[in-house]
Amino acid sequence: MRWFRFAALILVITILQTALINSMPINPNLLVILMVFFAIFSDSKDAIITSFSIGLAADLIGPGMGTLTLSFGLTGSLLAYLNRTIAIKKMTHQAVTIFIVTIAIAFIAHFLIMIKSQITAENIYTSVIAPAVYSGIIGPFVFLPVAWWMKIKHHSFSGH
Amino acid sequence: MTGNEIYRANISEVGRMTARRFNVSGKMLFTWLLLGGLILLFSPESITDKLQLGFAGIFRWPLTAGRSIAPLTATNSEPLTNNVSRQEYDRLQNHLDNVIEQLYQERQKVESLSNLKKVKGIDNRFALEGASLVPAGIINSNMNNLTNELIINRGSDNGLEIGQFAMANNSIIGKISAVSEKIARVKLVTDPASSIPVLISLNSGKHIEAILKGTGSNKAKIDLVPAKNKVETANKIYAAKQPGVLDIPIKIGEIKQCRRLDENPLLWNITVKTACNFENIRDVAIIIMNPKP
Repeated sequence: MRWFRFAALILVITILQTALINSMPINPNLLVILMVFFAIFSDSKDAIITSFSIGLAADLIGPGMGTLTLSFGLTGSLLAYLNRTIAIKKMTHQAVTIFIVTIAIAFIAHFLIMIKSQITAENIYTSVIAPAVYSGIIGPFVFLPVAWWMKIKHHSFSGH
Repeated sequence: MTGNEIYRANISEVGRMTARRFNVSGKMLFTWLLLGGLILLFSPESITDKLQLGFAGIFRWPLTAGRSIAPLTATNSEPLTNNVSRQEYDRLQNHLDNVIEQLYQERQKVESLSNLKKVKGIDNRFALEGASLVPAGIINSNMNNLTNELIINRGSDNGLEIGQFAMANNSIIGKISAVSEKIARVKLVTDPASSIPVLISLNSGKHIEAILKGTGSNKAKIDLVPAKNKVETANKIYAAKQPGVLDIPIKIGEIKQCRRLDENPLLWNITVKTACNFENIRDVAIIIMNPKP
């Protein structure tokens, strides 16, 4: 793993996400897409580290420190573990994975915020679905430039 | 063996030793990181706020630049009517509502003074006379169902303190929730953690006290208002006076919908529409009631 490239990528994506994409009508979660990418295409240890690191970056622009670090870390580590037995290579599988992971992260984060500050947000179901769909659709295409930047071999278009 | 080769051999040996020392299993790595996450989760907000404000402070330039690009990509541009933008119309309408409310408050004061002529030392300053408004630009906003906050480019160096009210378009939008030297965070009235005492101005001229709670995603509600009060749609909502923080009620919004609570029909369930569209604001003003000289 090229950690300097990884750090630069996360920094740029975090700023892009908070400054630009969150205020757009179509707002995919690029940090979740990145987390899924590294969980699929890295070895287990790197996947765990990247999941928690991306979660920490999401926390810096999120509702409160710790919630997204844990939800990204738990989900990314589980995905990396599952990826050892179920290979997620096809684009459609990747899109579905991103969709499910986005929803899972939102629910875990919501649960942790409830524990931490006794706050319950309304209409969580509706507000989670749209970004999950956008992330699922855009995600597999974002994998290509990320794989190029990280110099990771990526065969999603081959269908194998 | 040359000196250069010895140096390289030493370096590679140190690298191998470091790798051996930090060669932890995946499970152990996961446990340590999970523990770190839990520590972060239950750390006091005074510490974690500094991390978030520090990040916003370091990257304020790209964040502000991104916000200025964002309106070009957004689709919720508001139509112009009668050559006055909706935003300008709302701003003036809020000002008018605030003046009407101030008039009402002054009338109340005149009535109480007429009954207390003999009492000396009554504060007869005009509303906001001694207050100072600190203008601030928005570095970043965080609007979703879990949090509704703004990061602004003014901090304790400019006299800002936790608890002070923030205004935009002549209406209250939230309170300062965290502050560093040069940056502060405004928790908007629609944030799920926000809870602000308000006054509901009824059509009869009567004012009733209530608590405005944010529900996320640009919405707020008022509970526990007895149904005997004749609350109606479009009744104005004002932030209630708070000594030392806000000397006069200022408009927050108006009632969008009111219906009886399903669990208890003796209470109203009120949905509030804020007077200011938070997604369109570019600048805010912080009210400092008694600024230090």
